[in-house]
Amino acid sequence: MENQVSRRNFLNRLGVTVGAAAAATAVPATYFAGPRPAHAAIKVKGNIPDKPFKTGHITFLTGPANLLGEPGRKGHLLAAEEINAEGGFLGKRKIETIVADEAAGTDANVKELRRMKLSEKIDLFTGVISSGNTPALGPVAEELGVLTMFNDGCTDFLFDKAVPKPKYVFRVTNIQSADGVTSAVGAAKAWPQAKKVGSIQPDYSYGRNVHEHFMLAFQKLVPGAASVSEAWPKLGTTDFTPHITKLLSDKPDALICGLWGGDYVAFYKQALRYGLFDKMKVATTLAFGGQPHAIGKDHPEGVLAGAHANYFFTHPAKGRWPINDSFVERYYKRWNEYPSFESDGAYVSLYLLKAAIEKANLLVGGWPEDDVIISLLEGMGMDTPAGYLYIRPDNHQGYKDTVIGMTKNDPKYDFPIWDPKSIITIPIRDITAPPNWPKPGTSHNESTAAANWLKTTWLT
Amino acid sequence: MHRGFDGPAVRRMRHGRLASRDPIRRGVVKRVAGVAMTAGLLVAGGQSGAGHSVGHYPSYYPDEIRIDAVDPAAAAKGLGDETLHAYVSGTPAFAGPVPGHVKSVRSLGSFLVLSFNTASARFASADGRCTAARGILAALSEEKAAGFIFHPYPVTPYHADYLHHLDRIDAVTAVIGGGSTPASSLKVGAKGGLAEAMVKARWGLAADGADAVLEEVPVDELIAAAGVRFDGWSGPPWAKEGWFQAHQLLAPGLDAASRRAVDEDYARLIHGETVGLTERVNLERRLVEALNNGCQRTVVGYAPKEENVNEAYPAGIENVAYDSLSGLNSPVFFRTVKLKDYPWNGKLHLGVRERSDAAWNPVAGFTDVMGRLIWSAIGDPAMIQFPFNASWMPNRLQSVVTKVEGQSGGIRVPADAVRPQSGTGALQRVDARTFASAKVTYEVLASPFEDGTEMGVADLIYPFVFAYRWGAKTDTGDNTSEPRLAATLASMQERLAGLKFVRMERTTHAIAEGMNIVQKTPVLEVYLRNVPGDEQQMAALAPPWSTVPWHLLALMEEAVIRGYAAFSEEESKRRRVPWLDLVRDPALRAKLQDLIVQFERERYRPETLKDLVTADEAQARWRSLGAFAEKNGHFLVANGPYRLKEWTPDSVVLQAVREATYPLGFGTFDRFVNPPRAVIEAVTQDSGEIAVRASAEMILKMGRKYQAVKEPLLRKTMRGTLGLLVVSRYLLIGPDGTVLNVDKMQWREDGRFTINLPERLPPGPYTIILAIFLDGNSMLPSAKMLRFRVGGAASPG
Repeated sequence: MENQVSRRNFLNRLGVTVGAAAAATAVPATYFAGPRPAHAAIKVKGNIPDKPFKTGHITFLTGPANLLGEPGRKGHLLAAEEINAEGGFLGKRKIETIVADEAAGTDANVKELRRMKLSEKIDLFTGVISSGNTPALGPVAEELGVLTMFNDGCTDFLFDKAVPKPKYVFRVTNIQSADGVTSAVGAAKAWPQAKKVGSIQPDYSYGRNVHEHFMLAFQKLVPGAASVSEAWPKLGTTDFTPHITKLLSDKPDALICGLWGGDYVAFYKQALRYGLFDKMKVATTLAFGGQPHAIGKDHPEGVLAGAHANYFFTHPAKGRWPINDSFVERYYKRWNEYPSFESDGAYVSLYLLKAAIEKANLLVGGWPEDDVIISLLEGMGMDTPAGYLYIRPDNHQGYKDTVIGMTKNDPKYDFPIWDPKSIITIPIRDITAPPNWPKPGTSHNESTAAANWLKTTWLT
Repeated sequence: MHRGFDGPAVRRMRHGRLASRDPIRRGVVKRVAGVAMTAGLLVAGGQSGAGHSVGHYPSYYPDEIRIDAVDPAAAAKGLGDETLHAYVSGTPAFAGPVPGHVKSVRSLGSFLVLSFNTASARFASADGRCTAARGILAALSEEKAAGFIFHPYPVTPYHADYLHHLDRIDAVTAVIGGGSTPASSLKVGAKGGLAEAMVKARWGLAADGADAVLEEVPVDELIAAAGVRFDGWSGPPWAKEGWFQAHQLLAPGLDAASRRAVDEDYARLIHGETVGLTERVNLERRLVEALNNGCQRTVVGYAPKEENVNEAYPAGIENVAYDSLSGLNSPVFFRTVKLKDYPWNGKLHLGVRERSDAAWNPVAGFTDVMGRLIWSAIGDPAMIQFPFNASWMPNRLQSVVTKVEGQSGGIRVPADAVRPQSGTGALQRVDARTFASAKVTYEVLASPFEDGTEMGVADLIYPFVFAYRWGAKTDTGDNTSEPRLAATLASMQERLAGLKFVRMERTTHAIAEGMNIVQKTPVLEVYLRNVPGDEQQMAALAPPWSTVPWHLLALMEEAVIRGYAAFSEEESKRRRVPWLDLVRDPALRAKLQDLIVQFERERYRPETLKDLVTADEAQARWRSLGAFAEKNGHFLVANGPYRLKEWTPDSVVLQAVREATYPLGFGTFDRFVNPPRAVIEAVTQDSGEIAVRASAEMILKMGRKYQAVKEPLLRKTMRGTLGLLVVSRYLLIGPDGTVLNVDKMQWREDGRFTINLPERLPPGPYTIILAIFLDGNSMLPSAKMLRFRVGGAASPG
């Protein structure tokens, strides 16, 4: 009983807000994106060259991760078009983007980044979806001294180990360990009686990370919770029925699922045939991680649908956060579809830079040096479609409150969305390690700094 | 010869090395730079942490493909009730209107060819035939039969070289009917459904003794007749060229003297004996003109093929690429088609009209519609034909071509290169002073075969050995020749100067965080003579590639030598033995199993491979094949994107190869779906400059829907989020019909394409033909022809 109270207190302490309350407390103060009213035109100090601002954008143009790369490209292009419509950065430097396919592989991506910097003389490097790539590209970007805004590739490893003291490299989307923890908090809030946990995860590092961080958080939040069934389908699995029947026979109360894209669709369709969703509660990290229209209406309702702990376009709800209303409207007008978290990440990256360049110009005049832009990006806060984004100066990582919700069909859309009443928002500070927390391999050997922080600080 | 690409970006592409900024190149070969994991060693390691995206997902979108033989009525029902996704190479019989969700793709289906009875005195002379032909053409120019398009020229808008003949097509069409014999005075026969319907309705079918016969010639048959698609080789590289198909269609009707003259030009074309594109285009035009002379056979038109697909949501399909000539029955279809309700995975259900009666073997089998479809998924060609032009794109290998002008040689073939000996296939060192005119360096995307054996150099070289062994001899009574391979060998023998294994590269690539794969890339050089001008066609001539292992080829050889079966249908009939079927012949299965046991015991490897394969390795291979056959009930071991899972007489089920060792993945060929098209909007002439404005017609995916978009073609025009590859082409034709220049137009910053005419042109009438091609799409181009006179009115200066 004491533990139950502690858990509830803890959830309350986490600052988790539910449904409309989240948005009601967050009224934006600024209008940051999109065409500006004429009177709001920026004031520019000094002479600005009119040479194009060259941007290298590596993202997935092909392969499974194009599901993520394409909305990212669309977000990037929309932001570039909007900024260019105002004349470009500081009204003078129009954005020109060179695109390359991230599916070419890590080695090729590294070569392409070098080529972009050394031959094409890019001013900015953006994009990158894969967590297999950011740890390889980050150090090269530092070595080349190219200002870099990763949209994703959100592995903790990037700033934990690969680039522990970044100068040029920034990342906008939430850190990866928040994914499993967000689902755990959502599941604990929704199903506090669920003690027996099943887990189905892709059999590579992402699946292991989700399983670890989910269980770590969930077991703290739901005392007595234990893993009773684990399924690890190999990459390329198309028949999930052996895993489904095993899960059913182990009778968990709740299931955490880290499958994504076509694997998740194949899984849920096969699971429907076995009545799995009637027999256990299901939490996911990525059911809403791709383009919203990628999921059909046959998807069951009441599933905790993760959006990679970042953003889903229906939240904050229409009328409650004009920046999101405006972004969704403009994105839909441009592309005839709704944005995903990757769209938001890529879009915000360019506007974040724009804000830093404008501030830097006001400080120093003319076109600011990278060092000045970087100093302004560090610690910068900005209202974005997903909410308030903060760039932590110690590790250049973007942090924003995480969100998750339950699936529900709405006649307005031909795909499921989050049930507005079920959406929870979790302050990011409550689920990630604070600045300067020891990195893995220093005073501890946990897989992430977040894991160590969760273990040593939560409910202790 | 136009295939829609000639700009610097494409030259980089054709040179085989990565041109990472070229979107098509990226789309086609993205895995070569990094995701081309081929050796089959999956290792976990690298960083800790997470990241859900995976850069490579092996094989293509559907995880299962079912192909059923269904009649047209059942196909219509299946498409209507959304249980069938597509009907390949057939026409469904809809009882009523075609349901709205059923769409069609259109490719060149067949030619309609008129041939005269030259034994008749009336048609013994060219004058007699041509006068009669004009009469029939005049009548058919008004023909309204469903599907028929009047086009009295063998090169059609579906051919990549259509642009090169536009003035000739115009000229031929203009004289229709002039000085003709009324067609009503002729007895006309017909072959083929459409031809029979047309002749019957117009003249009544002549029962016998026809003066002329209208014949429908399916393009599929024409391509199949062009050469054996043996193993992973795809037949003659120029098989889709209009001039080549014109030769196939019309040359057989020529008299001996005309044939000799025509074949000289034909030989020059296939041997690349021209310098520069202008000379080549003139030669193509001369060939086609000569083929039309004499009117023994005359093309009167063509019939596009419509194939239906189910585009309903959520049960339908999307992302369908198809070939301009072969339609859906082409490798690019399976490598793009996607179920609408699945980002990937899902079960694809196809229908074909007839069950596969052709034997299933990779040498001279899989020859019918269903067989070709099955093999295009199980096998993996070295290169795949560009869907909407006549060139090739890499599939399982990358190539870099080094070429010297002239065909006599200039590149010394290294002394350690080998060449198979005709008749035995034995690999012998080349002569000390062997020269070639081209060297093609290949990097092969190796991958394990279905029986688990690793691909090695022996597998890549053995198809050469096989072709030289089986294609060389006429029958000597010992069952060691296969006439169907003779054309393949003939083409290779006169070109192959030597081949050399250079090295085996091994690289490690990350496909996801903590998931690496070791890629094995054999590098080989092939030395060639008498090569065509196009580098991709050159690379497609004799690629070191096999989609089946050497031990399966050796097993089939032995079966044929022992008289168990024959590779081809023709030989099986001649020798009165079964047509070799690796899957469905129970009697053969028992014999093959016995052979495998014997070979394993004897540690057998062909004599020619003894330097490349040890006895132990050979024994392991036979053991693997035996185990595979035991487990799967068949011997069809390959290394393509799908494997045979189940089969009945009327149906097969194929399963995606999702092992990470398969080096290609979905998305690779998506760029070829819904190809954009340039439309010429305005052509203006001002003094010595011709200026062109064009639009881009594109179909863009927006959410779950597709939307047709037309935008002015400017430098900033994009195809959704991707850039466009824009290639322009013009021909300047002189007063005597000679092509004076073939070049690209200048693309100005304001979006205009311009041509600056030469300053000093002799007086006379000139013609400019021009077109613009987007992303390699040369099908049904919006070509324009402009005539002007120098030295008179409207002189451009």
